[in-house]
Amino acid sequence: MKRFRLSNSSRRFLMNIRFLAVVAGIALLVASHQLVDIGKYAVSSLHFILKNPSASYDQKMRARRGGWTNLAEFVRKNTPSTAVITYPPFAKGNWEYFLYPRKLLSGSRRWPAVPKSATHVLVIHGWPRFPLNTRIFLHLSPPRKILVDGLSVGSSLLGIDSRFSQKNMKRPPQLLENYLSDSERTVTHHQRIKVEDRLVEFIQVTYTFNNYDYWMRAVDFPLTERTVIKTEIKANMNHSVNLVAEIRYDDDKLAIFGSSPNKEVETWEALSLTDLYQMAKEYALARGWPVKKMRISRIGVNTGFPREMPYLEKYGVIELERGQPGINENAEPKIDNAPYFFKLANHYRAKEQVKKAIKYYQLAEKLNPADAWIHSNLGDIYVKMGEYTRAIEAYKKAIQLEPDIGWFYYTLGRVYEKEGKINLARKSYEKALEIDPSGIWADDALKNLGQGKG
Amino acid sequence: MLIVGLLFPTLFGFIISLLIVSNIPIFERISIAYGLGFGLLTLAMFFLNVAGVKFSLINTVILISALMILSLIYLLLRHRISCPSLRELNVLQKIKQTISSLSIFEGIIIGLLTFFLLSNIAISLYWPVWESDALYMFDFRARVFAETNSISEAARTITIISPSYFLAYPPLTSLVNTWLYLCGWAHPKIFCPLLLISLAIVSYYSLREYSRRYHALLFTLIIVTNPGVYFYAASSYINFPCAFYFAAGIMYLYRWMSTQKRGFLGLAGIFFALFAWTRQESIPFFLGSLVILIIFAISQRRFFAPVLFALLYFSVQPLWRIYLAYLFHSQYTAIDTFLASSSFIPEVSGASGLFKLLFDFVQWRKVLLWMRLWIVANHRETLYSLVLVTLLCIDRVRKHLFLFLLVYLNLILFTLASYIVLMAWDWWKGAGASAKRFFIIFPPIIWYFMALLTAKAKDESY
Repeated sequence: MKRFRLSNSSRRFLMNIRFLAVVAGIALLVASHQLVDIGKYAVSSLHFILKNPSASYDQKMRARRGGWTNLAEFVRKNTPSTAVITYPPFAKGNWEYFLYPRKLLSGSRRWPAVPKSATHVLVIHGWPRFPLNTRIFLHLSPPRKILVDGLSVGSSLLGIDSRFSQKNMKRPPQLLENYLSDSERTVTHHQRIKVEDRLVEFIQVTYTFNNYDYWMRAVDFPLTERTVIKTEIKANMNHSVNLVAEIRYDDDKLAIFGSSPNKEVETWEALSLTDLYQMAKEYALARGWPVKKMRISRIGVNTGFPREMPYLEKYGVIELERGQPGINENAEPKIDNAPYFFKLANHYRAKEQVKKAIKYYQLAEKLNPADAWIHSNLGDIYVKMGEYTRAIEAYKKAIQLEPDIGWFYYTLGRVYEKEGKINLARKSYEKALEIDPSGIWADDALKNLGQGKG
Repeated sequence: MLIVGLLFPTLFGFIISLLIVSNIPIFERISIAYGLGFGLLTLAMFFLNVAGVKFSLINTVILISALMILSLIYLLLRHRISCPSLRELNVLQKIKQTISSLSIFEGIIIGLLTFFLLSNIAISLYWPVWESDALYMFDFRARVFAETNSISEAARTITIISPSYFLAYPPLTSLVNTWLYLCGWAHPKIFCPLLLISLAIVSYYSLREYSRRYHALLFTLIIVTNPGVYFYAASSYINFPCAFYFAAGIMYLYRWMSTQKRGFLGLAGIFFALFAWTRQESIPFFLGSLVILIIFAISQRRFFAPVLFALLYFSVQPLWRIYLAYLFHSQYTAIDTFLASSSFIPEVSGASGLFKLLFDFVQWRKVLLWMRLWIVANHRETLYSLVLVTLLCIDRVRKHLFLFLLVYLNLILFTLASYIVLMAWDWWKGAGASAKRFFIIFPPIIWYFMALLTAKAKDESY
């Protein structure tokens, strides 16, 4: 093969051109692109480091991965390492890395339940959209800002108000005291402030857990058939606060009764307990207490009212009620109240002790008949017992109280379907879907309606 | 303890490097020792675990110490190390001499190199593991290995990720992280930036053999500051360790071809094996390199060389697959989907089938477009420079013919592999970022090749 050879002058020329092209090219490349790119990256990274030399692991992860790492950290801190956590089917992120050695199970979009082995449920991205039997719900929520005005005991007879009405007071009464609480929270403001020419009480509280949180003032009024307790509330979120009143019975037994929660956001809204006498009497009869003397001993608000659905708190983790230890079944509450009995009833429900569950749901219902979830849970128990008529009644009551919760229509539809009332079932499912189009289970139920697959 | 976590594997690698190769500069040896030591340490951890011994600091230290003692005894008996040879090193004096002889240009390059390498360490030490894939797999595996002290146990405890995916990648990087966790490191990102320093030093000495100091330094800077290489050295992905082992493997393979220095072929084989221990996709690039080595061996009548090279590679490459097959067959009721679907090469029947498969022009168009979008667009400077320099220095290609073949054949193999993968897995089109990351194994060898083509040898002038 002939060897490739250049003349000396051509060779020299080529060498010089090559040297210039290569060296100049490389210098350009290195200076203009690589070094600038890498330099920018290194300098910006070092700048951040120098600005935040002692940032914690959480802060660094937040800077890199965004806010969801807060939730991951929160869940890690608030769940045991043995937890089995159900997480949303569409959740992104590296949950297993942050939550290991906790076991993770993927939730379903189509099936409104969590696996039986799950102990916890992650609440995120509007999931789960179905209720859960909850022991405790820890969440990362924005603060609740609540204005309270005109808290008073009055009469249903027109023109008669109690001497304790704030409007009639020359000197405003003392601030409400935190009386009884089953919550974890930080109170950032509690003071009287002037709003729209009204001197009102302002409570700003951030909950990580709220079963109930009673802010009350001591009063002493006889409870009569005409007694009305009322207040005006303005809150930054609906379904977050309700009016409460404590009744003292003959033998110093105490019970707290509650109204329905606020429905409006950032709007003054009147809350009242108009049939307190009847409620208190019925409750005493149910408990076997004498009803001769009933006095109102405290009035106030419950700022820790749970939201309609857990996902409304946006981010959190639910410890499921599985009948596990931690609830003293034999203890009597110092002061009877609906959330306490509701929790106890959920515990018995998980243990499948149906009679006890019904008993405590019914007590809770008598203390706060305006809480839709008490009725809904009672309905579930009745369905389990095959008492469909009572179940329908309970679900209808729940719907009456909270007509915007699609789940109630779905459960009602299921009972209708079991009873063979296909048209009613269809209507209920359709309504459930209309309210919550993401509740795919209602769509499935509609498709399978009448096919015996429900 | 943290420092011991880094020094112990390096010491192990140092002693092993003495067994393999002699008479190389001390800094080069330390650099080799770092990559080699960590790689072999992970193999030792793996074998211990397969033998039923749980991962722990003490178990690993005992095994590695025993290996080191045996190696030292062998070295002493063979007079490969002695006290006078240690004294002859005169490291400090050599550094002083080198510094005083530096030109301004060289000083600037060393200054830039120092700044970028130290920055990389600072960035890695500061940021915890945050990259998605690392959280999903590489570092997650390391954490679970460290907590359960066992690979099989780890696979049993995870829940979201399927065990097959969890264990899909060979374990080098995860076991390195496991080791660092066991040594008390809160996060293990320190491994990669120190490997980047090793790459810089290995590249420098590999270039220095053929070129002047300023040239070697300049191209070392270009290799180290390649954006892909630099960025992934500060992250927790497996791509940079892959790039290191592949680049070191190619450099030592070529150095062996050009100098025939004893030990370099062994080093190349081990580095390729460690590349396979980091990523299963190493095989086409190993085979490509083996073909070139066979051609070289035939031309030089060094027939044993390919055998040694292949032996070293295949002593490690199949280990993980065998282990997975054993694990999944013995511990899971069904044959795992991963193993069942691991072959992505489409079935072909006969020569016509193969022809149809390889010359589907519609598919080639798609693949080339895809490569332009993901590979060329992200490595424009490197690839254009390669073409330009090859054309400009075409008469010097002959001098580095085997390196030319190694570089170009591996690039062709990458293109071919992309063609086949894209044909089998249409979804891979969406995984361009993964391909882009994988491609960072090439810039170091491409720049190394360009450096040699443009180098003025000590006795040469333009």
